[in-house]
Amino acid sequence: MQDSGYPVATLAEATHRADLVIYWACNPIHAHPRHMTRYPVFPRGFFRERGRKDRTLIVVDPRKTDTAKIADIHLQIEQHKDYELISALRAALNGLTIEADKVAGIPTEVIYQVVDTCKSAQYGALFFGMGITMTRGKHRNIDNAIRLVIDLNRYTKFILTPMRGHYNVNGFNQVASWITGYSYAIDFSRGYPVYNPGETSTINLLKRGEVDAMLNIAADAGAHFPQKAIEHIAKIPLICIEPHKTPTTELANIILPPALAGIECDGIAYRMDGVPIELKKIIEPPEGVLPDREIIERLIKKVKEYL
Amino acid sequence: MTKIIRNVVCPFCGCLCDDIEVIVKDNHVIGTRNACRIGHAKFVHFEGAIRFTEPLIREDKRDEFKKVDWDTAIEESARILVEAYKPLLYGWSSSETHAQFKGIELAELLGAVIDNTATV
Ligand code: SF4
Repeated sequence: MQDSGYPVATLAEATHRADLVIYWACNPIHAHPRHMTRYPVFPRGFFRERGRKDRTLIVVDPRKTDTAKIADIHLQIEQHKDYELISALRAALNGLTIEADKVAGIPTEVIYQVVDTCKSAQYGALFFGMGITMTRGKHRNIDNAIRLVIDLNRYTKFILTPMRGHYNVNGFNQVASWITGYSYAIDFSRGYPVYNPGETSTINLLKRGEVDAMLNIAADAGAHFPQKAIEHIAKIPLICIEPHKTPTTELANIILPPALAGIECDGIAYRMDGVPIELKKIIEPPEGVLPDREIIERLIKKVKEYL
Repeated sequence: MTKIIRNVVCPFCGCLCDDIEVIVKDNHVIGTRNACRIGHAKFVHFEGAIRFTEPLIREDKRDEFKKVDWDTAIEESARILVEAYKPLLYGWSSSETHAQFKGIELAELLGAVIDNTATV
């Protein structure tokens, strides 16, 4: 993402304009249940009066997911072959001949067909799930997908949006980018921000045992990380800012209970397309919990005293 | 007394649907409209989830947690982070943006690594 930037649009724009929608490595029916019904697939748009009928839906997924089942084209890609398929699409797009019969399990003629479909679309929208970064190639897959979208923009309008899981993943990436220049995995140990995924990213740091204390906030490291990373978490002091009991809090030395943003306190979150939205407070939090921001503020105050 | 709060934003997934109606009775969410299954579950306190309502602390990870007051919990947490050679501040994806902003300030102060769930 950092190497090439990326062309975005709001979800509303995609809904009004897109006549081609691609979901790559994501299964919105389960992970973002209202994505297709509120945004770019089913609703009528200003230029897409017939809704779903005016749009072609392509799903790229190794499994026959519920989303794949309703697609017009399902590219049942081989696991871990995202990079290869993106490269093949780019090759076909750039007029190169693909000599293999199949790439990533997809017959070459289908690849050419898909490229034609993309080129002849008036407005294409590519949504990719974070699944794409979990396969071989990691963040390079995204770089390649971005280049694909850039290539496609020579023929037609094409945009790209990551399907964010947690409601405010994007918020962190946005804030971190405008403060430090990098969107995640930022190492301040040299006094200035350093970013190098693989070196400064959480799982690698934990696996190599390079960090000696951890603060876990608003995510469940204990449930999602590889065994080796969790083993290291078990060895170092762990502070959790977490409202509920989770696999991560089981490993904690200190638990600081927060109020739930968007329910028990207000705040701001960035939607997956980068639109900041104000969260509401709808009920009072239980006595004795504090909003995340207040907990961090109090930590900052104390840390300044100790430094 | 039951009241309905309209145009609530769902704080669960990156769609941030902003058309949720939440039905509140005596400071409890008893129902939602328009939210999907997983969004609904975030609003209504789900069965079996154990909520922490006060800071807890333990020296050894095999011990039971002890309740402490906020001042002690914050002091102890700050001490751990300051004494660490290279602390890691991980998560942030389900917290709101002001907290994330402050988090980066904290990381800079500590010379820490800060990372969120986008990490690979
Ligand atoms: S209602 Fe469902 S789709 Fe909408 S933000 Fe909440 S979890 Fe996501």
